[in-house]
Amino acid sequence: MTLSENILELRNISKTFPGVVALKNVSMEVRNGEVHALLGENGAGKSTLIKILSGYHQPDPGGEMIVAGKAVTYKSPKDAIDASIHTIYQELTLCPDMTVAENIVLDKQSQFKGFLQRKNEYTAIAAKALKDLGQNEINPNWKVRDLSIAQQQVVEIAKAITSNAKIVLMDEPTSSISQNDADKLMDIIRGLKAHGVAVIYISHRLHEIGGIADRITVLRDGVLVSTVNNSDVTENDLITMMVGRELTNVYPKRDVPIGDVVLKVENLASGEILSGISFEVHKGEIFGIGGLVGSRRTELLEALFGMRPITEGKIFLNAEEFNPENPRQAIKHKMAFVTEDRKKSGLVLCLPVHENINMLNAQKPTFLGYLNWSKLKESANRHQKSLNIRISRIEQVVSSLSGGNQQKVALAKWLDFSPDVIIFDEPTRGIDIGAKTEIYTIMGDLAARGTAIVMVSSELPELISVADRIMVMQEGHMKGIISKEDSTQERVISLATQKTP
Amino acid sequence: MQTQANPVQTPKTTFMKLIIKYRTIMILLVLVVIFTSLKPVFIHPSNLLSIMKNMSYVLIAGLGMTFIITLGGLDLSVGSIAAFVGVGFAMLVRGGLMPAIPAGLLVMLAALFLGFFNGFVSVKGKIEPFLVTLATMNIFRGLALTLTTGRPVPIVIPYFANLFGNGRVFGIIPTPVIISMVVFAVSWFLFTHTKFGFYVRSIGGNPEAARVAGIDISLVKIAAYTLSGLYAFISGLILAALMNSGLPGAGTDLALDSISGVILGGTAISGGVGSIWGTLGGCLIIAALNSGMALLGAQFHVQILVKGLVIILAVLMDNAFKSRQK
Repeated sequence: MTLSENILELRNISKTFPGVVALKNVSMEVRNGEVHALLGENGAGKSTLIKILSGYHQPDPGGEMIVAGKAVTYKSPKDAIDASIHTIYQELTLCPDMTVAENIVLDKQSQFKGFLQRKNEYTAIAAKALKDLGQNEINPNWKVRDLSIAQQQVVEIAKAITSNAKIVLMDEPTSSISQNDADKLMDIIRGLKAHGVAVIYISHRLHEIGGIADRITVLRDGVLVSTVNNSDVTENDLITMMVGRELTNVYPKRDVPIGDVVLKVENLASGEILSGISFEVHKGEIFGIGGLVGSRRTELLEALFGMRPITEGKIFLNAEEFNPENPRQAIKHKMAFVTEDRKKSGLVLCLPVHENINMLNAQKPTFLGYLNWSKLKESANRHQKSLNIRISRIEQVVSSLSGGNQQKVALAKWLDFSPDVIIFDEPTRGIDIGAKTEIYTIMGDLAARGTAIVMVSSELPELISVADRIMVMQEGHMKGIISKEDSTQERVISLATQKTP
Repeated sequence: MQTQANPVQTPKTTFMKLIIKYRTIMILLVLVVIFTSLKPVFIHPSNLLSIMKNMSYVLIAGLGMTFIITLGGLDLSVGSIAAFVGVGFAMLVRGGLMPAIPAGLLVMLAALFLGFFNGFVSVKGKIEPFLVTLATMNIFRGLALTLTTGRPVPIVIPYFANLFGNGRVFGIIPTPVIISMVVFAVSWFLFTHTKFGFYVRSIGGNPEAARVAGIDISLVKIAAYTLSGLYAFISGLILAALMNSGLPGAGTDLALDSISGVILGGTAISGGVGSIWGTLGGCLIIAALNSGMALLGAQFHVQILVKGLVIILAVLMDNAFKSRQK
């Protein structure tokens, strides 16, 4: 096999869901042993494409998928694996209470004859695969539960190569691991490539793609924009291709007078997790918090909102000392928390839009606990209009909304009780660029009304453009606060990564 | 292909959707039609009333169970609480210890406490409600058996059986039917129009989101199990009145029958989605099956078998409903 030979060809692949065209006539090739990056905003169709390649979705009739020269149609994910395409999902799919070796042989049981387990063979296969990947420090007899996320990823990769995978799909593999582990992962990917395995690599992180990819395919709104050689393009070219326009109006500027101190944190600590954190947030200010994955920014927010015990230090709200023991108390003190993972903690997905929006309104005292739903629906309708939440009916179940609209619902529920402080954890994660701009506008409006805003963000451009000041954290400590004038991406990164002396 | 951006809903898919949405009432209608065509006496008002009378105590326990299952929990102990109620009441009034009304109130408080105990142990001890109520199902039943040394205790108040069991209002409608319909109306209001019902659905749908929104999860959970104790109390009174005695072995099937009714009514065992109307429908299905098959001369054993099959059918339809919603 030569390097130029195509291991995968897609011809005119389309996928229509009720009411949405997720992919339109996508045609692309992946060569043997190349790292092919797939790039696009959320909603561009990347995940649909992955699900088609991994057999979870069937494409609309009319398209063709050719793997190693043979046209294939998958009926199930197993068919994809049989065609030697393996997918490593963002959320790993290992059995936590089984050993590394057992996980690696789980999908190959038909290779083993007889009824009994063959522990020694399992271990040998696993050990060899891990050695091939240069990961000798993982013991095949360890339980997966005891491994780090990065190590679990390695086990997934070992599982793929031991089934003779020709194509490995990786969906945002670095989203939840440290920089150090990400670097190791890049080495593993290079190793796979050297063994002739093609890697389809999905990531938002342009610099990562720049470092590893041979070719890059950009999707936008379900259409393939272009496939380019990595060496021919700059990051800016890729952004323009992804967004389809220059990124000038993404962060609407709004000048808001900064008022008195609303939230003051003094030398805060929470067990071994957080220590020595002090800052002030003023009326009308957007206070950003930056840092790498694992810098415990979310943990800080949880401590502020009563979800994590405070073992040292003090919090003042409007100059009054405040030690929240649970979210209820934080809410009573006029704090709001738009959480990072709206599906996990921001929304009740099986409930309709108006009930989610009224999650706090419904807690106001009423006679005998009676809820006047027609009145509550009216107020939900008001928010739906003012935040431009795109739905067909206010009774629509929240799980059927897009990410951006879900985020607006998660935010809307806090607005009626006009909080003094709103905490945003990754306010625009997983939503498209138009909805992002709308969220920033809403944040600006809130600030203009005198709300103090605390925002954690991993997206540096967002952090720098939206926040008035930025505190940078590292492993639960604060490394410094940067004023608006001094804030650059380089400055944030250097504070976030510099080693503590 | 891309011209067809918005696939229109064909009449066929809309029809399927309707069937799936109203599956509980559909199953019920189909059963009524089948039984009526085989045995016309099935549709006779007196038979319909007897169906409703026979299911009254299951419906009441099921209404309480709807809150519990929507909350993402389970209460296996309701049958044991019901037995404890009957036995306790019978013993209090038999010995002449107490007049009927204080005895009733005292037993009600005891039932509330048993329900509270379930919730409290589950919440504070962080134990799955399935395990807690599996244990208390035995504890409460054991309590009732120990108190009576396993023997039935006759109820010595003459009007009790009439009031809660075999009496009829206007000489037509059995009192248990009236009681269960009142409980049904109150439950519907509680579930759909009060904060409590809303909290129950929110917590069942996503406890973490409910917590961040400031809802007191522990309080709501304990309240729901306490309420389930109250429902079991009413159920137990009816059971005792129908037998005119407190039986320590009463209501052994109550928990599982009421859970079946709730599930047949479309309430999701995973929590968050529940329906009081559905529970009424689900309990009616079970009662109609029992009555219809009895009329057809089927033995009790066969009735149980068919009941199980119907539950599987309903859950299959439930899954079809969910996959269509995606």
